[in-house]
Amino acid sequence: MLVSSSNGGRALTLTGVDPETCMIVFKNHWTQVLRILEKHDPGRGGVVGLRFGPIPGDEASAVQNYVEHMLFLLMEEESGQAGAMGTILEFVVVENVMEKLFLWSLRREFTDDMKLEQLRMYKMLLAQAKQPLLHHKPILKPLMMLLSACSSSSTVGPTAPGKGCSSAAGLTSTVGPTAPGKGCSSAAGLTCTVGPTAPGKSYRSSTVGPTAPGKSYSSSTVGPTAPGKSYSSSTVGPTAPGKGCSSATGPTCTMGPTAPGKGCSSATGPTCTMGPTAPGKSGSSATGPPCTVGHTVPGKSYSSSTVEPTAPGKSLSSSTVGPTAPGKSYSSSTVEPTAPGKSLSSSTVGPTAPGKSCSSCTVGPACTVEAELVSLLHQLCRVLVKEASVLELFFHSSQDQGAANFLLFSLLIPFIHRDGTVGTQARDALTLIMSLSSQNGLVAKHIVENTYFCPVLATGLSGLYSGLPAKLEVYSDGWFCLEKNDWLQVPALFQFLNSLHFCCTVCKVAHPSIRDQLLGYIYNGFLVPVMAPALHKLTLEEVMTTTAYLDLFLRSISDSALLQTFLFFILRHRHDNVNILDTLVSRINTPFQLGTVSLALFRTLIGLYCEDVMLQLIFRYLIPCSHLTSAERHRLRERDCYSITASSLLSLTPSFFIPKPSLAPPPKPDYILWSKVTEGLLRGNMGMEDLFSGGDSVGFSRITSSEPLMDKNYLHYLYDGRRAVCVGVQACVVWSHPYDGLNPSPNEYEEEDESLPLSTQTHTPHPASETSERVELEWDDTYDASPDEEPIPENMIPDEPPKHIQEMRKSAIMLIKGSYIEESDFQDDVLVYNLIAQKDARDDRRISVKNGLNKLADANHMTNDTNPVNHECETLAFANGHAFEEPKLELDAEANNLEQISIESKTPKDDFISQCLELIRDLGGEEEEEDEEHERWMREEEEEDFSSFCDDHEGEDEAEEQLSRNHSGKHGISFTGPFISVLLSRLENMLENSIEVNLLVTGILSHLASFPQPLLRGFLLNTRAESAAGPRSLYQVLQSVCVQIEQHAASRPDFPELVHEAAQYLLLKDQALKEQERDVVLQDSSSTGWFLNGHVSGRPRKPLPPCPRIPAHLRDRVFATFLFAEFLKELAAIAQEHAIVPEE
Amino acid sequence: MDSNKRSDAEEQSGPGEQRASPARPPFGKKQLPSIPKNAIPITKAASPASSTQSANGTHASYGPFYLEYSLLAEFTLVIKQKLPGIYVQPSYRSALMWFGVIFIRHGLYQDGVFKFTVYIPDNYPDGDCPRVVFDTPVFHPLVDPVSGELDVRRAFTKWRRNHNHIWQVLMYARTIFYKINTMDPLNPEAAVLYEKDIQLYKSKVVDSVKLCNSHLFDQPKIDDPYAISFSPWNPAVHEEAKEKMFAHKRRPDDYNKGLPVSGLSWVKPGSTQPFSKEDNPLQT
Repeated sequence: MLVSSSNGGRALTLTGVDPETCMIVFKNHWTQVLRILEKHDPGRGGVVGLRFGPIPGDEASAVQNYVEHMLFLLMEEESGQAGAMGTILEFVVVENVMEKLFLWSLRREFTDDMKLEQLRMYKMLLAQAKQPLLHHKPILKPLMMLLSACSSSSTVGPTAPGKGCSSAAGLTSTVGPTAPGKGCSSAAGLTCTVGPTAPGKSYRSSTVGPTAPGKSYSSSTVGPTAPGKSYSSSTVGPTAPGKGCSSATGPTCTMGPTAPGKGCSSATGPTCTMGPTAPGKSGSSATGPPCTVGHTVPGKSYSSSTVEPTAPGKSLSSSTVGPTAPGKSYSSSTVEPTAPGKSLSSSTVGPTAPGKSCSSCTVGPACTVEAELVSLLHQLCRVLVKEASVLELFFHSSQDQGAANFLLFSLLIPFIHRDGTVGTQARDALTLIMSLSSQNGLVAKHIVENTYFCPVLATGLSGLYSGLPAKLEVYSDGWFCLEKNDWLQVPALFQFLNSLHFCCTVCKVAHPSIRDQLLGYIYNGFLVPVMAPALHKLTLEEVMTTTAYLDLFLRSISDSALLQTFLFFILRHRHDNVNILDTLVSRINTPFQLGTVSLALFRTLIGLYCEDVMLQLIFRYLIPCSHLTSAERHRLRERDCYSITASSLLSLTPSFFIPKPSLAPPPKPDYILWSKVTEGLLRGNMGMEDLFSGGDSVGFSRITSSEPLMDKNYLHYLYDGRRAVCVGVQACVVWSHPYDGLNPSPNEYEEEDESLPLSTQTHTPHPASETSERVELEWDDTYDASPDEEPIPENMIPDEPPKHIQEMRKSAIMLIKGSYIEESDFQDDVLVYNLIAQKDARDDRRISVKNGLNKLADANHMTNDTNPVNHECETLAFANGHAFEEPKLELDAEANNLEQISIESKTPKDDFISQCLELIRDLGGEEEEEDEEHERWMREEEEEDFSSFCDDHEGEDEAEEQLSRNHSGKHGISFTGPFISVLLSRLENMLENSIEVNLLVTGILSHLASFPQPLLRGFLLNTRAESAAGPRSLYQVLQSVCVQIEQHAASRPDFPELVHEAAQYLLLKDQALKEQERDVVLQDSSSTGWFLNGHVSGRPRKPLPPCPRIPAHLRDRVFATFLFAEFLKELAAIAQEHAIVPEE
Repeated sequence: MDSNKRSDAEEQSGPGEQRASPARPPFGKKQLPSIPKNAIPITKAASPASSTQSANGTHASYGPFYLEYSLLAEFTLVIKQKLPGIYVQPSYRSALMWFGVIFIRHGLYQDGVFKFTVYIPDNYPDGDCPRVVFDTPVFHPLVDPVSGELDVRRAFTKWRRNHNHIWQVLMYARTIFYKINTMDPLNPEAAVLYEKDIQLYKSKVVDSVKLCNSHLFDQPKIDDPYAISFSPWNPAVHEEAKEKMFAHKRRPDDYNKGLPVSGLSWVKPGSTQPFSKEDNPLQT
């Protein structure tokens, strides 16, 4: 005996050993093994009892020992002449050794340990065998059976009675033929999910479901999770052979493959009760219905629940929540291993259960089995990719089993959304298959037509999304976007991003048909039913969170096709008949963090350099060139050779930044100063390097010294500007138009929707509703473009709704055509945003505060007036109900509140006013205001307002008229679109904005200014005197801010000094962030998405110098003043760089 | 024409590449020397370059930047013009000094390779017109036989910003070799000969061209890293550069190495609708 291969004996080699000898040894072993096997073969012995009778331990271990030896011999065998099988392998194949061994292991207690043993055996064989093994069916087949058996790890309880098993096997008839034992067939049950029905159609019908309810808010939070649920039920339902399955299918969409049938249906109960993890507050309400599902007879309960109008949504959602629900049912099922049904559900739920459940699950051996299984599958996939012939075998072996069934692939699907290494490995393995599919049409076809890969992947996103925190409360006031450090701390988010990344990978490597199907499901199964409602939740906080998620997703997507799907959703999808993009734009003007987060989202969108986005946001308003005189149009493509723009911009620098004449050097020829400046900068004497070199007091004092603050870092701005301009030029090479005033021609702009070949969008199936009537949404524009188009005649008739409210109503009705007036969840947005937009758009800060208050008061009047228009009342009531209170209300309470208020249509006036005051305080208005002061202001307001209109707003009245002409489809208006308007409006408010808002606003504007398109550049960097009728230009707004600053500085002598201190602090902070960014870039330069982050964001890790002691009420203003000066430099530098961009 | 220019001294050298040149500090801007070495000092009081922006003092700080960017803009315009046979390259030390060379391909001065230097006044664009000085005084009515300076001023009596550009000066410097003008000559001998004895004039031109070409491989007159210098054809050095030049057109990507940036567009050319492209959204 040459071989004594215990586990440690593997070091032995058989080199030089006579193959004949090996063969003899192998045969001997097999004879021994076979003897034991046959002794216990129920077929042979004919004794039923034997099947359940224990197999003596010594016999089992004997078999094990022999098998180990045999495997070793098999592995070490070289293939024969000309690639023929070696003799041992031939023997194995002829004698069907592997299958017999597998059956033997089934006959014994098929415990997890047993499975592990078998899995490891195959893994070893595959990894180390010296000849190809998988080509041989007698080896492949038992392997497939093993895989099936193991995939639903705990399906077959050790004591699973024959009957239960066989019934399960009924379902699994596809595998049936090859499944020798019944226990096995039950395990194979999962294959039934791979039924041949086409998922697409049934899916679509089911999408109707989730969008249907919508009425109550709770349903909308449930909404996100609903689609996945309803989807799964409808798609899986038809294919599920068993009755019980229909109810079980609820959860099975996410984990469909493993739902084996009856037992599972009862198992839905436990999963449903896991509602507690349902996102947000709706969870508690959702738990009710699902419980009923669980306890009643499956299938029926489902249909019965549909009777109740709101029930389906809830019960559905609860069952989708199920999969993500950690814990309880799972642990309970591991506790009771005898309940096959439950344990099943637990194991199926397990895969998608994030975090908690999984960690608990690692304890059990089932998890080890899963890990081993996935590892083996991964190994098989690697083989597949290498050898096409093996792929054929895998494919055909499945076909032999009665269904076009790529088992290997189907087995991996349940692990798609897993976290941890199992999930990663499964996704890697699937990626291999995906890349295979790009070359093999058969594989692609199978995946698209016969598997649930795409729906599971896409709706899994929905499921994972529903597990995300509905509110992010951990972040600071200045927080506005989710960065890596943020989402690393939220496991659910991390897991979602993993799945999103996997979607990207699939889109990149898979066959186009798979990609298109996946994108379709993501659009219709995630974006529309989940993201859209989530973006329209009721509280600002939730909306803000969703916005931040969307922003993060956009930044995380690295595949252009997937990104296109997301962008299509944002640009073209209409939720409640309002374009998502319009809604998002309107939110920029909200106070609170929502406005800031929305800005961050747009920063991301712009950073994509996507022509479609820019077209919708900006260019469609610029293409007609109505904002330009003909002379300007001709100058569009000229270069600003002499830095006229830069010098105009820099001349707006507040005077106290500029050294006093006495300190200024006597006039010298430019070149002298030039060389001094540049040499100094190059040596680092005057630039930031010096400032931050040691961070010492010398550096600090320098900046506060009499030296002009201005030119310190201008070279840096030039450098950044050059980079930005060059990046823009390069990025926009792929664009279809230059947007230079000629192409597209000003007359060419097509109205939306007419020519859009929506039906040809084959890759993303879009619901037909999108092509339906489009209404130009302008309500926001009107208020932004011409903030106060009408003097408010509030002294006239206090009992009537003020004119501007009427206007607002009129325009709202006109614009939204009443269709969503009944819908409660957008109304308040409209009102709140409108009011705030009006408030923000004021020229004069103080007036604006007063007006805002006044309008609210007016609104209140109207509420009390029992206005005949019901929805109007409702609107206001809603606004009153929750939007003006800081949205800390509990959701359900809020919902109640809303109903109540809308019914009563009356609120105590005092309360309302005090809320308004609170609101205004929150907006950053004067903190020391007294009520009487407010009243006085309100009295005064009319005069002030009126005069200001007369002075400044005539032009805008005209614009407004022209604007209204535009509604009838005419061009020739001078309006640059809501986005630009809202940005400029926020910019004009600079002095009142928080520093984050200012950084975002200026960052976005300077980024826009760096775009190469002459139309955009020409608009933003035009510093020529504007005609009165034109829209406000960036330069005009900057002039206005400059005036504000000068006025403020004049009124507070200490202001300039404070600004200098703030400058020092902010420059240091900037430096710290730059370093951090550099580190980040160095660390993960690999994971570059499409998004190019032009601006530094986030919280520096390095400790910062103490913020100078600036009085709190002045702080924003002081920071803003410094930022203003820096912004001028930034813009000037960009303008200069534009002049020297080389021609293509 | 077997001479080859140094590869970094072609017109292809955009400002970006200069910036990226390792010889420069990271934020390297060209420094301006106080006065070009062999230029006549400008005696008149320097007028502020911009009449519009001296009010609040920002100009004092930023004037140099405006000047430099004006010159860089001029340079990009020169490149854009693709003047036949003319190559220029701003000096390393001063944006106010550009090195150039003209190749004359036919006419009286055929085969002439004339190196020259452009001096730009430091109050550009509000000063006089730039000056063009040939390294070797070419025998030509409008070229000073001693200093080698070309009479540019006759073509640009008053330098007007927005109307006059440096590429026009270069164009003019080329034109004089094809269309001889003898009015008010700087080199009266050449003018007279051209009028009276064209054969002698021609032979003098041939001599002058030979002289110029014989000095072709000389060290540049002005010691500057970006001065144009010629060297005999050396396959080891030049072949690769030549192949590169012929092999691929300069694309914007080259301009921005290390910035793998691509935007996105699903807009069909000619359409102003988003997502109007019908083809599948593969990687752009």
